[in-house]
Amino acid sequence: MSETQNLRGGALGGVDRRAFLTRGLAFVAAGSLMPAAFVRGVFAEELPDAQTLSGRRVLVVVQLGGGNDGLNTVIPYADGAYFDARGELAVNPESVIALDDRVALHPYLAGFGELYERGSLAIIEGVGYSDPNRSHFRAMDIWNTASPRADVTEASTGWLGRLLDASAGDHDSRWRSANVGAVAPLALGADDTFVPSLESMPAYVLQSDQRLSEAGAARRTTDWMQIYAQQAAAGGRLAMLSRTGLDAYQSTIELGDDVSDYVALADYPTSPLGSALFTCAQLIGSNLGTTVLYVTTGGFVSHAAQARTQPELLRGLSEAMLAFQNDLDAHGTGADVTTFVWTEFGRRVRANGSAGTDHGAAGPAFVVGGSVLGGLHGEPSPLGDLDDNGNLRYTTDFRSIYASLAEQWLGVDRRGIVGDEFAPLTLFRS
Amino acid sequence: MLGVSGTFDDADVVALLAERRETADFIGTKLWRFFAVPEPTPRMVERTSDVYFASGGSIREVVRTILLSEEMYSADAYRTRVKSPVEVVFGAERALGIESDGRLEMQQMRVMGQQLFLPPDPAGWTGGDAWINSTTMLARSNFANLVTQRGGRMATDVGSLLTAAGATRSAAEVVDWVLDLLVGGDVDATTRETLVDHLGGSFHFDFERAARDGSLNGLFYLALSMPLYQVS
Repeated sequence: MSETQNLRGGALGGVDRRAFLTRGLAFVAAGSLMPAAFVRGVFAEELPDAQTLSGRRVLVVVQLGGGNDGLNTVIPYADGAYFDARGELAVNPESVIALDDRVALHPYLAGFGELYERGSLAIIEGVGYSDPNRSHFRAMDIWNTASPRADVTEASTGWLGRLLDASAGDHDSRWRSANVGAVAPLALGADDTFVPSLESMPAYVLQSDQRLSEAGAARRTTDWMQIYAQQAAAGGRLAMLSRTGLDAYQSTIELGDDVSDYVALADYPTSPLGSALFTCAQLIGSNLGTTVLYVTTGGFVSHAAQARTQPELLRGLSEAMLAFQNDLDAHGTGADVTTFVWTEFGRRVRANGSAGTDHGAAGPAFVVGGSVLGGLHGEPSPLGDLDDNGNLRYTTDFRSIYASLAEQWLGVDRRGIVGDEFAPLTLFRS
Repeated sequence: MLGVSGTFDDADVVALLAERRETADFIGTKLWRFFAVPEPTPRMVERTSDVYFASGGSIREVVRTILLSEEMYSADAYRTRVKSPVEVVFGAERALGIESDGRLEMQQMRVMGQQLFLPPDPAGWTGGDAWINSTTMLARSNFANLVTQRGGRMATDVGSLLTAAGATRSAAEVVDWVLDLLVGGDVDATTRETLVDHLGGSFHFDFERAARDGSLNGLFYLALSMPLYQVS
């Protein structure tokens, strides 16, 4: 069967959201007390035997917020035009990690170098879109919705939200997707799919008064649920709030205990990105049917003194990504997970007067994983043919990458996500 | 700049921007959203922009126009705006008479998605529905627990609030007083009934026992964590 079928089946069958809610409310209506252990029991009864991850595929998206300077990330170290434009900001060609005689990785990207050696890193050069927008917000909207022309409204869906809606099944876990962070990106905006945001595993719980007896705590939670269900009836915003609250509570129960039992088999850096990727590994390793995960890491704005900020950010990214992949490999799931790394735009080719670079256009994107077709993809943007703003011209539309991730990796028809126009790249080993 | 040539300093730039219709529309839209409705219509924005220019750029007059408008008291403006974390936290603390040094509040607002003076990017917080996701909904309920649980660092003595108000005679009286205090009353009958039941029901109500067994605190918790408290 196609991968779409696989997604529909989900790895966690049996928990029907509506059925649960109805069941939950039946208890409420009966006025019975519902201790937490009993709630878990209701779920446990419904859960099938844990399914293995083999045959299931996960997409992790990592967003580098602020616009990462692609030219100092994947460096055209043999091109004189690069050194002319960048002056002091050019990376010393003797320290770079050469990929071939044309391009090299920044010296602080040793982890990416190792993944590249293993054939687990695909670098897509010259990624962008026509008439690039140099506003962070607009550019992020464009990448998140995958629609450069349409205006973004409150009703806009994200490309991953559409993917989740299109592959939804009747028995999905609430952890089929998750944003690992406090602020959900527009990319995960869906019409019909609940997407949890998980910032911290220990804090992801509905707390109760410590002094209550078990029965008192259960009664309180039951009444909380009942009021949420009652106020959903008002429709509009109250319905949205009620639904999100009930889904949130039920997702804390579905999260279960497996997640905290997960043991990392690699050294994650103690950075927010390292923690977020470890959380991703915990979710992936917990048989929750997780298919799409999203992580945002910021700080890539580099208008001034770029040499003091960007290298450390690249090191942090590279070390966290290597640890994540090593951890997955050690758990035997390295080929089941693909990570896509993107940023809203590259930066201006010519350095500015503050030893920094201003908002640019095209740049490289990265796809990492054990099933990825490693190597260089796409075409480099020529340094000798810049647009009117002195920016790199794109050679690959970002939606071709989305098309590949959707269709080749997750088995979801790309047309509902990016339309007909953008043919997928070949980013995976067949 | 903006069709005008010359040498400008910072004040000139602000003056030039303040004369633009776009500026009036932008500010008007933000103020409509803040005070009244999530989605102001172009006609509403036009009205406040007209006031802005007629009053020589007075924000006071723009706000007055909004507060006295028909829309302000329309169904569209009633409980349709999602409160920001600042409103959730300080609204509750003001109602309950909680005073603290602000540290816990900062931490609570951060988990709800609003780190004061540190918006995620130069555009500020998106606000509205964007405040809401699973983590922030749990955080809003957990904040309600923090300020109502017995013996907590931020907890208030809810029993004495009710005793002082003289609202202790029946479960219904207690519930109505709390709902008036926290959401201005007007709560659907089913929610009200659930809250009365939480106190042990209409019959044999015992204020002392409710204060002792935690159900009185639970009532405040439920009222502060319910969806209705999250909107204004």
